[in-house]
Amino acid sequence: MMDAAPRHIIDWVGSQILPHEGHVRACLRRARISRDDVEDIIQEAYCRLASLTSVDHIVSPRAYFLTVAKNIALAHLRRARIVHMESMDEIERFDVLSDDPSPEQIISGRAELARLQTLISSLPDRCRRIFVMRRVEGLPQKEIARILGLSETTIENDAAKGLRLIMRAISSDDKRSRSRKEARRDAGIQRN
Amino acid sequence: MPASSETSEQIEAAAAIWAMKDRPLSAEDEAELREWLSGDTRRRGALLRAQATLSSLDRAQALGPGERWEGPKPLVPVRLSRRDLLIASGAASGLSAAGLAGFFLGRHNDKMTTAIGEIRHLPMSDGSVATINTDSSIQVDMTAERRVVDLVRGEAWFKVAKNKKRPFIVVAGMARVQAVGTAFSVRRLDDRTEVQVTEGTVKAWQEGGDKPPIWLNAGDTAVLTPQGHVTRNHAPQAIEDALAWRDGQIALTGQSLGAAAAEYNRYNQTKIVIEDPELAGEHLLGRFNADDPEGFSDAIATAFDADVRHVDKTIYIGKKN
Repeated sequence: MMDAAPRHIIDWVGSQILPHEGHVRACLRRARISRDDVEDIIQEAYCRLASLTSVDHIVSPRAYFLTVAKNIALAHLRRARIVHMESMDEIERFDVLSDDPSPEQIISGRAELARLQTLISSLPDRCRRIFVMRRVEGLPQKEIARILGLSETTIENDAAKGLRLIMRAISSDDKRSRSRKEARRDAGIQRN
Repeated sequence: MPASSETSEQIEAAAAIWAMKDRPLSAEDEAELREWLSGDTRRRGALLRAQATLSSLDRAQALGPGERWEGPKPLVPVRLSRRDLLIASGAASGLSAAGLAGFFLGRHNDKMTTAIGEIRHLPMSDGSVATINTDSSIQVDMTAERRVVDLVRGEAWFKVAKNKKRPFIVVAGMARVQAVGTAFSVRRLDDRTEVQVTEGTVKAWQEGGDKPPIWLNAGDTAVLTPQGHVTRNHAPQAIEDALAWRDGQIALTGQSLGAAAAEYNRYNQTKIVIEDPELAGEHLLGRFNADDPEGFSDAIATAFDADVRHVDKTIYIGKKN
């Protein structure tokens, strides 16, 4: 197989899962999981998603993503030599079901699309030129190397760098990805 | 489970290179990639994440190469952390946008039409975005004073960039909907125009009518008729369901099977005909993919023990004999 998953799964992950990564990261971080472990958990969660053959049964991709991450995180914690009860508690409390995005969040997912375009625009100069030539204009690596008078390795590295910067920006657990419910909880205004 | 001491950062770096490689891969690369993927399980995850990011970028652009960039987007500050910038240190020329225009030489295209089943995103030069539903057509007219979108046909959802000095107005026949910084959809039908507000506030009125404009808030829907009738409703959940098309879905919340088939027929060349009136009156719940009338028909057949026949581009659903 030349790709991580079938095309329709990749597209589904891109449109339905990726926008929630910041939220899932934020949940894990709140459970005091170290940054490195969060990275591992996220990559493993994507690995599980890669084994899906159909996504029709997944009604709330966000809840599904959070569930997968939650189970991986719990497995990690159980394996750890020192079991962090607080983290376990916090993870067990992830409210997966009632955590469906509000309409506002679905919309911010839309706004996310516009944001992606802006992200490309804000890449460092050479990196952006190469990234755009690769992804927007669809030029082969060899051709870009010729046009810019750079080595193919440089092109390859810069293009990959551009992609990583964009991934970083998308997944940054900023305010944008916090639900109102979390904001309320953090502000200590909890109902019931 | 992590099978190696490799850091997730190293894996991410390698995955990004694999994701950006020219496809199809050469035979050697393919063998190498297969080898790489068979190592640590995180690697496949990292590659999926990288490829999914590229997929979402393609979607954001709503373009094949050379289509519909309306020039560079206005630059809003994007927060990249120091760690992010370290990755890019090789080309640490800062976040300059200079030279960008040369790369996004899009035509200024002010009309967009979608075919049946097609949904497109149109980023506009003012920073607003239109998402255009199946079989629809819009005409954009941007001036210094006003931003006017003529909904010639069909339905579109707008996410409007705030700009008090340049009102954003959607024209649908005689109906008018005006927003400042808001998200809303407008659907033009033969006998009425439907407005659904997902964010902020809009003003809607019938051009040439004697009724004063009405104000709609987030969660409000309104129906305007050429006779000047305006009805308003507050139903946030219904709006979310009605706008499921933006995810390529149809949300059925108890509509009759007949109405569901009509909805499907909006999106597909293959038409669904419910032959039996009793069956057409049955009710359904659930979200379905708009581009899969066959799958939908099968789901109905299973649920109601109905009979499905395919004749050319038509699917007939009726009672079993």
